[in-house]
Amino acid sequence: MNQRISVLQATAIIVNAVTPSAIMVIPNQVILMVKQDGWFSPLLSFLFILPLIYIISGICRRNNGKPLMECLESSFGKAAATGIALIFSAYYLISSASVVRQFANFISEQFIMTTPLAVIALLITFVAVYIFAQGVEVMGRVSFFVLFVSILFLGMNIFLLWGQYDWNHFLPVFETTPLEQLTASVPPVGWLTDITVVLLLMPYMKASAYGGKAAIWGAMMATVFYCLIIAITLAVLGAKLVPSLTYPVFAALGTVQIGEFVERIDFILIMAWMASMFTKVSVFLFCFNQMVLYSFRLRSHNGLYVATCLLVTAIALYSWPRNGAVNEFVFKSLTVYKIINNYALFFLIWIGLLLTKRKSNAEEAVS
Amino acid sequence: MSESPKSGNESGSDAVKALSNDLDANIKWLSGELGTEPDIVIRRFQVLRNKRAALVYISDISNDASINTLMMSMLDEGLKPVADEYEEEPLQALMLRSITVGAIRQLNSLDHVLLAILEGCSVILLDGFATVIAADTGGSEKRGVEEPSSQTVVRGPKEGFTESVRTNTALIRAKIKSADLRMEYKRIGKRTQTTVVVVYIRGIAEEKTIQEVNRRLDLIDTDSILESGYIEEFIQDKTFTPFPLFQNTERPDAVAAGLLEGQFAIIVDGTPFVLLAPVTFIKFFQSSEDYYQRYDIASFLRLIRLSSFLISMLLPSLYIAITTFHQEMLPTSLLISLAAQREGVPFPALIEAMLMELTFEILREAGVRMPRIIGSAISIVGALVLGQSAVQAGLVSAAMVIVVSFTAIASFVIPSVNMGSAARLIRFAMMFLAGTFGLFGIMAGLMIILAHMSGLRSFGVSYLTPLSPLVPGNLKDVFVRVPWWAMKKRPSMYGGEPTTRQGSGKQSAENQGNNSQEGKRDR
Repeated sequence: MNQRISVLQATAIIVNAVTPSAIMVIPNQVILMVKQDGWFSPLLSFLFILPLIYIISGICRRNNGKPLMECLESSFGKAAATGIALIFSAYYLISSASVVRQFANFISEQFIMTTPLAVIALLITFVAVYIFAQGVEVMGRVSFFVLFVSILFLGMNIFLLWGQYDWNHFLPVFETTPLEQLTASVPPVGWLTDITVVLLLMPYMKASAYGGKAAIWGAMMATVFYCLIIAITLAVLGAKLVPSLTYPVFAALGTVQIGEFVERIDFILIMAWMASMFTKVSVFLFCFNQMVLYSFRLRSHNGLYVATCLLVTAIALYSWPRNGAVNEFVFKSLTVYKIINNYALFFLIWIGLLLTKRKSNAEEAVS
Repeated sequence: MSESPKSGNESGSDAVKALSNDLDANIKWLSGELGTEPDIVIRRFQVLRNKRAALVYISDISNDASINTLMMSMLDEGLKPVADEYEEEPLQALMLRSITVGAIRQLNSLDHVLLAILEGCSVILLDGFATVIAADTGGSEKRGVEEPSSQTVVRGPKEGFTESVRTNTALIRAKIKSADLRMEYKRIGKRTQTTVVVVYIRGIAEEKTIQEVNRRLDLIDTDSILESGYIEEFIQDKTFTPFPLFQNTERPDAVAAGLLEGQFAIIVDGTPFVLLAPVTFIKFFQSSEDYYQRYDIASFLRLIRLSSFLISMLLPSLYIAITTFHQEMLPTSLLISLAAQREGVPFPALIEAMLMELTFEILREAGVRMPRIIGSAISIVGALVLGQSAVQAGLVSAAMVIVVSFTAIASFVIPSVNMGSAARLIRFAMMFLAGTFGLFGIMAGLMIILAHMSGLRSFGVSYLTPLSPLVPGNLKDVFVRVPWWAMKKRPSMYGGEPTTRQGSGKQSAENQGNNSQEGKRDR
């Protein structure tokens, strides 16, 4: 385990794992519920994610740089740890497949309509597998680059869209009830729970305390991204138009026109977004690979990468019969699944770790 | 005494053949090994009160004047009375009183004697002694110092390396007059016994890196090294990559600058191309001239070079992707113009671009191989026959010719030929991806390239340093070059702590002027 990543790189990995696929659906999910107050929901969801960040920091401190599964094995035993690893494997497999399918659908619907979906999905998975197969260090560096470029292009688009903003779209402010706001903050909470990927990066970080830092920075940056994206969409399109569009963010960005010559500049941001989607899939596949290696006591091998590539592509293609089905899954089931897997499960793990620690302390005192 | 190269192959299990006390036996063995070719000279004579001796050398690779002087001095010595203290030490007597050549060494094994003769040394054998004296009288024909052909500059030194390792080391020593400049000699290649020199500055280059390069060089087990490219392929960190992991240069000033930044150089006898490592991606876009002209101009040119690299790699693929899949990206007037040009073209944009690019590559290769006189004919054929006629015949569109031409010109802007070649190679893969998947394919290709480059290392140094991992202190000479006075520290990316390059007081005269003005006001 010679590879090491910095806090900056770990933060970039987290932001890329949390943000890109979320920005496709979050404006729809949130604006549908709280209309012009949608920009506030991510801020509220950040408050709900703080306990998870506390749990992550606690586990990082306790692990002291050891792999997560090694820590769980020493506390709960081999069988329980393997069971947890299998649950996580399933989660990362399903999440990767859904992201691949979402991404492939978008490319197929917007750019290359005649190319078979299978070929697009296979290329996405191949690139992602190639990235994570190069190691965590490479993943960190690629994530950093992609994040930098994304921020640059997002900033450029915000500036270019300035003429399109209608500030009246935000009025009246805080018209929605607190209960509606709470409900609307659930989807961003679901997406933000993916900051738990940092726990699988722990052994590669330069210090164990960096895990908590990266988690909080990652969550903060992702929240800012969500707020900006929702605000831009609202400012350009308005709360009434957004729910009727499949990809409202890209529709809003596509309205840029400067003079006669510069139009469809949104392609530049879409290119950066594509890069972050590739990175996201690679992060999820890395986590899936880690869990599979632990569950089945395997070693990294090129054959395993090929198998992962084919398995994820197949699941992405054949789990959802229609493009609409994957959107429905992402809108409804995925948020709940993310909260259960990332929030509830890690909460239980944290409680379990506290109990086992207390038990071992008591035994030590008796002996 | 000259530094004696250590052969990696000498340390093998081969038994060393010792010299005999008998002069005739030694000469017989050498004659057997060297053969009886006319350039092999074995000259017998007498020195020091009729002691039998012999001088053995190869005339074609020796300097006649040095040998004549050596012979005359020794024959002259044979006539003089010998001092008593030299009676027992005739070899010492020869070395102290007779041999006029500066660089001499004593050898005890026949293999080393043979090697010395093959290097151009003259070997003096003395009857009754199992030790010989090798005098460096080498002097074969060599090219003079000329302007480098591959890295010309408008402003800067005009001297370039030659094929002689000694000339090359001298050119570096002339630039860096420091006692810390180290040159470690090696001999690699069982048959060619090529002299390879590792050059670095003690205290600036990282010690671990030097140990590693020596280790890798010692592991080379081949029969021949004819150019530095052989060494490059043997010791580079990764083989399967289009990106160069060594910088090669014909310029002594570039090597000196590299050494002063913490790189090491490898000089190989027989080639003017000296290797520099560790190297980062951005190094290939820095030209010697950047440091000789104003920093603002240098920065602008560097940005042009980086843009040219991207153009060279991506322009044809972007053209293919946009005209094939994303026409909506183009303004209507431009789209109509392009559509009108492509109306009669029977091929898809990908095939059209491939045809033109391959044609250009063939022309370029022909231009390199052809004698210079015919070079202009090739240009005419390329520009008129294949360019204009292909458009008139409706085989390719005029826009495609413009794209391919601009790409070609952009590829020549990259200062490093190796990096230019990498861009050429990647261009074809990107064109294929663009023709199949459009912009999505280009992005997929770029992600693979980014991941690949992020994983590359040159002697432990990440290829994308200082951009990723980010080293803010080393960003002063990446996309832009800050003024010399602002680069106080040496870059730390080649390992080790950044050492000071200049004192803090050496700011520009303008700043010094402002400071003194402020001082006056204060008073």
